[in-house]
Amino acid sequence: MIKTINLKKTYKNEGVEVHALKGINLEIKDGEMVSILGPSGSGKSTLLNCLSGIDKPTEGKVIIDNIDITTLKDDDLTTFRAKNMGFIFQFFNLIPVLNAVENVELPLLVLGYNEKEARGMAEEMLIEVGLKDRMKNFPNMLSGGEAQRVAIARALVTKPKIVWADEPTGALDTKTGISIMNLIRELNEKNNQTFVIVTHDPRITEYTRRILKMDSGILTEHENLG
Amino acid sequence: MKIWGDTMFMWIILSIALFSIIYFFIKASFHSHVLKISFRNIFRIKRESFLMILGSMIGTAFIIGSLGMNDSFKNYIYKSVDLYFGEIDEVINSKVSINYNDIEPFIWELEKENLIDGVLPIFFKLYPVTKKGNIRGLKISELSQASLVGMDYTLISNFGENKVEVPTEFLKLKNNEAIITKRLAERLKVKEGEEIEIITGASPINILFPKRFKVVKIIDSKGIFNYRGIDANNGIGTVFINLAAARSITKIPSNNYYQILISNRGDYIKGNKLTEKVKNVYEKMKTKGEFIPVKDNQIKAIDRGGVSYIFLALSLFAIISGGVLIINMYSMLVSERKRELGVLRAIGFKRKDIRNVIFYESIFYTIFSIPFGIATGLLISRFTFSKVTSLFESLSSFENIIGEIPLIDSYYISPNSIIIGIAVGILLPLTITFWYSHSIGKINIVNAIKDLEEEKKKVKFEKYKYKIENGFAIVIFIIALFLK
Repeated sequence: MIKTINLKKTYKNEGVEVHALKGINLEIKDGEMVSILGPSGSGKSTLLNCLSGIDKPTEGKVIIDNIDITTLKDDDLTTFRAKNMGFIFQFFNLIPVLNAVENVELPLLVLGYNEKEARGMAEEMLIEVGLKDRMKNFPNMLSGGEAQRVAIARALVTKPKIVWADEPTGALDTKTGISIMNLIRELNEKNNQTFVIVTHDPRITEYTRRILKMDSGILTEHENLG
Repeated sequence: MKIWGDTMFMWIILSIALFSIIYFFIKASFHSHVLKISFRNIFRIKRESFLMILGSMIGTAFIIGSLGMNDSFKNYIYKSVDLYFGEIDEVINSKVSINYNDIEPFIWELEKENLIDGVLPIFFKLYPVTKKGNIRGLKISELSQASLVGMDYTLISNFGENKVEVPTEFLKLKNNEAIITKRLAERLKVKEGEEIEIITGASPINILFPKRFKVVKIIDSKGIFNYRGIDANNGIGTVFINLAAARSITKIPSNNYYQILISNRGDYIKGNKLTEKVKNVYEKMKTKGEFIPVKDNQIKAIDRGGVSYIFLALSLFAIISGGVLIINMYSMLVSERKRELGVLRAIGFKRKDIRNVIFYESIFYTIFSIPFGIATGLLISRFTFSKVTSLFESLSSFENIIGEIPLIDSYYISPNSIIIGIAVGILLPLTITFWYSHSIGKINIVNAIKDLEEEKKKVKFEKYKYKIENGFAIVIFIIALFLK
């Protein structure tokens, strides 16, 4: 379970204090597929960054499975992230010098898996996202949809409890975006992993079971879609 | 021992540099995925990698080049010292002659303290010399000032660290025979077998009846066989005569000499500088005569105007420039890969892993750049040297400048300098990138992924930038000070 208590984030932009999060309290249950919806600058990405531990909140707590990750030291937090979380970014953010399968096996190698085992798991994962024939392709040889599938495979290969997705379809055309969202929903249902998706596109929220709406650093609405 | 110590020091530095590389590769082998990313990054954008190697190469070339220039100048000094003094380090000089018995306790003390490896008492005077017939022919312009040296030439073989074989002509010199140096022979237009005349006093008798010597040999040698007095600038050359003839000319009491030449143990040029210790003994013993550290003086005389400091300042400047160049290259590289490094952090790379991605890459660049850097440095310094030398040569045509500008005639770089160049060429970029990659490890993940500028880091870099600028200002100030 993910829980936040009075989560605040303030940063300075050209000397002016910006309150990106103004005391967020929320709970996300295990296996949920949640979307955080809001306009640009509403604080949704900041919330995702604080929840995932890649950014430090100014105040408040982020508790994941009874561990307050805001108190963890950097190395411990990194290990926690590697073991328990997967990331899907808007611009795929694959490592350009590694081919598809090498990109996918990277989180496993970081966790200490041996190369053979990691390679096997990465190949399986790529097959699962429909990229059996693209394993040896480097990112520049993949289409946007294929690159995002590799990124999804990389996020899921360690079988994390939580997957964070920041505008996962933002750089894709509508058709490809739909196929990616279908894949994400399919994987969520299959693996019972928690998915938290940040988006400004209301159409994306249709794939999730719960919507958290944000505006000006506060949660304005919770909507359960059943 | 000192020489051994110096060489050992160089090898230790080089060993540290090489072991650093080996150590990091062994360490890297445990993180093959990190090493893979680093290695592949080299071939990612070839133009960028070429620039990185070029940057490191130029840094190394700067260092090697400045060391080469420095060595050439030092070599010139050493050659000059070797030419006029050889094994002679100090001279006890007396204008009115000095009794050897008065010097002996000082010599014994030096031997007791194991400071010297040779002592040579000699007659030394400067006299006008000319070819036979010129005085009677009143060809005063043909007179040249030359050094007259007389001694027991058998002692030379035991003078100094490198025992020399004394040419038999010296040992067989008769009272009316002389050996003269080549330059003097050329000036006097004298050949072997001809006679020279020496005016040994200012009285009319001395002028009317100069001492005559038959030139039995003309030598073109260095060191003790080219000794021209305590400052090496006296006269045009040297006339060597035997002990009895010298005593007869100078008319000084038995067992008296004008100069006592001292050779210190080891080689001054290679770093075994015992002059201060010998001087301390001389002062402690209240020895008669004037103590003259001839080699020290000669080096200072050649290096007047602090030329060696200019070369030193240039070396420092080169090292700093190389360092700044490398920092800029890595700064460019990191800013281009910021997003990627942020992603790596997000998916589980620890700070040290990020540090290693950059650091291992720098090791590859360093390895590639070192041989090219050394070759380029040697070529650049040799080329610059030849240009500077020809400039000095053209300037030397001005009479008032000739004495001020040393005419360095040959390029030289010592093996030690090449070792230093390799070691610094390895350690400098590695140290800089180690430090730099350390700060990269602290990258803010969110800012990196979003490719935002890091305010904190920017401030830090600005602070560092000012330090570099201040450093440059100080170096330029030092150079200006010495040039003045």
